[in-house]
Amino acid sequence: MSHDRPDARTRRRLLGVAAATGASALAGCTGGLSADFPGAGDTEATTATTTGPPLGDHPAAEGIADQARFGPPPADAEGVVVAFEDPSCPRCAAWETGTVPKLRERLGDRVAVVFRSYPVIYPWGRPATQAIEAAFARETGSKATQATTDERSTTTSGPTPYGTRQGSTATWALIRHYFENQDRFDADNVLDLTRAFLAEETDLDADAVVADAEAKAHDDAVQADLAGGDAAGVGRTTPTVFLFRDGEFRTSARGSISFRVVNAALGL
Amino acid sequence: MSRPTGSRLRPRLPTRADDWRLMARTVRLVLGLPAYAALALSAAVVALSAFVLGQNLALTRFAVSAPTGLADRATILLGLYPFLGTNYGPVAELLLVAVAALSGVDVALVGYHFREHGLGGREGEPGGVAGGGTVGLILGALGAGCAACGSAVLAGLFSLFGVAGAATLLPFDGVEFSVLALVALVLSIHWVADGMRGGEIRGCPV
Repeated sequence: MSHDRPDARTRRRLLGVAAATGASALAGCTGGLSADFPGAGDTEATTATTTGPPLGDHPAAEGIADQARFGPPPADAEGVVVAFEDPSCPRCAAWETGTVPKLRERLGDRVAVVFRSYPVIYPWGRPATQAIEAAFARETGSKATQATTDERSTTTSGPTPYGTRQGSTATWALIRHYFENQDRFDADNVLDLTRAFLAEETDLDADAVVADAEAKAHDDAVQADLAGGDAAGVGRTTPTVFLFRDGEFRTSARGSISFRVVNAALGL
Repeated sequence: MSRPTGSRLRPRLPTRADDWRLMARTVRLVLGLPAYAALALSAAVVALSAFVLGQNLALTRFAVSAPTGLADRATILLGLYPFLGTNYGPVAELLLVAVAALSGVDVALVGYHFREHGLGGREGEPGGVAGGGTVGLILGALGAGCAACGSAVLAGLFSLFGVAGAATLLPFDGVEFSVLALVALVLSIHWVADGMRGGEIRGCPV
């Protein structure tokens, strides 16, 4: 039983509501603060490949010339969007299926959209990411010439099919498959379903890709993305996108932000 | 009008139709006052803004401070809100707006109760008036964080307790917390309305 006066008690309760509002804001902020301070992550950024200085010396852009992407090479693009994504993340699916196609259709010749794998949400995202990196390594390793042809052709012809950049048509098809069918996957079936998809829908060696994924043959690429995202302050939030304009970092955003927001933030 | 001692001992949950009618009547009477309607609206906007802009502080700061046009600033900021942008799924959008709206109603009721009656909630209330509101607002923020971008807020909170991966066990991507926030806010509103039982609002008996 309390012996406080009622008015004093009420004032404390009102202060409680005010404190709760502040706490709510603070709780919401925990996902956003670190993005303001690139380099605040726990792990130093490492790179699997280095192909020129990162945009604006930002850790999110380390080695992006070697990542799966749409649009012009980052060094030549007016705008660059680097997205850290998890195949198992529902908001990443919204970003990939809602915002990225509009970026490609409306700003495809001016903006590079770079995919960086960042599996931190559901467990099946980790083997899926290994499969993406394995598929990408096999495609880009064996189809460098085709990649150049694809890039040239997609800048001069009509609507581009999903995934023709960096020689990674099949990789992008696999990425899209994951995002469009998230409900079907779990940690036990993801590689079996991946094998079936690659065998039926692509010309990649499905067994080899899955074997690489199981053996984590390209884990260095996964770890490079994780380290880059960590250093950039991604934390455990996907998608987190980093926006660059004319080679300089502008801002970052969390969640499946719209095309209009990206366009406005890039000032295009 | 005093309540029987026995009724004080039973759990103060809105289990009867009378409880819901009391809540509805109390809310209607308080929000019928323009000042308190404005307070509720303002509190709801503040709560919603805290939820959604707090998720994207870097982008919010950029929109406010970067040398860009007014139209671009508005596009960026409005694009972070439910139904105006794409950052949330439809269920999460509805729940977020509902949590913000109930937060506004809760603040208005507490404000009215404090100013007009000069009284707090009754002793023995489970959690107290502001206790329910506090829980509701915190859960609302958690729900916003989870639904928006991969359980970021919740993962951060859980990491304090060494169970950072626990957020991924939520089957509905964090929407659970928005639902819990709604429940906590409804309870808070019920307790405030119950605290005003027997009094008058705008000359009308409650």
